[in-house]
Amino acid sequence: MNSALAAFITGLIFAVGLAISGMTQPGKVIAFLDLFGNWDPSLGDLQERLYHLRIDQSIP
Amino acid sequence: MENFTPLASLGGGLLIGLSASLLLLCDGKIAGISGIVGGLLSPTQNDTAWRVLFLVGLLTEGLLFSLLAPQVFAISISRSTIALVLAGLLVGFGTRLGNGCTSGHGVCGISRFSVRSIVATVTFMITAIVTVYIINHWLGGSL
Repeated sequence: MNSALAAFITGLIFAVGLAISGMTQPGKVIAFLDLFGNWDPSLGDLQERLYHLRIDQSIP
Repeated sequence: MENFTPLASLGGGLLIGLSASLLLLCDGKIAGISGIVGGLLSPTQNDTAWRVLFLVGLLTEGLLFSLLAPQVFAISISRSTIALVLAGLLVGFGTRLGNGCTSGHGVCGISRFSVRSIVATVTFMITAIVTVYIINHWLGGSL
């Protein structure tokens, strides 16, 4: 894929991911961090997912 | 746990992982938002366009969501302006000091087993948990 187009499209996809997971809502993020209150574990599911979605190590 | 949304988190996580993977595969770049923005403050040749385009994509989608699904940006916490400004400054200072944020270290770094990123992520997650504990349970949930 054209590198400029890739940058634009990955930006779009990233934003959709943030919105769908609820990370655009500060309350959701704080609820995930509130382990000793009314804990909402949703975003851990996400971090776990990201951990397993390992990508090829092709860092230049 | 009344607001637990595992499927939405899974879907969002997959998309963020897909985005980070594509940026790495196509452009060889790390999808660390603070680093992408930070790089624009001291621009070097041939390293600006992709940053701008990534951010334009990010903000375009944000604009679309704010028009079509404004609940995405629902703010359900109460914080004073001073607290928000101070928080923003601390986040900015910390991400530069630690060379990355939740996206760069937490998503891209951990997924390629970078020790530096694992240390950074564990550090900022513990700090955030302690901060939320103090604010929610000692200070009554608002600042």
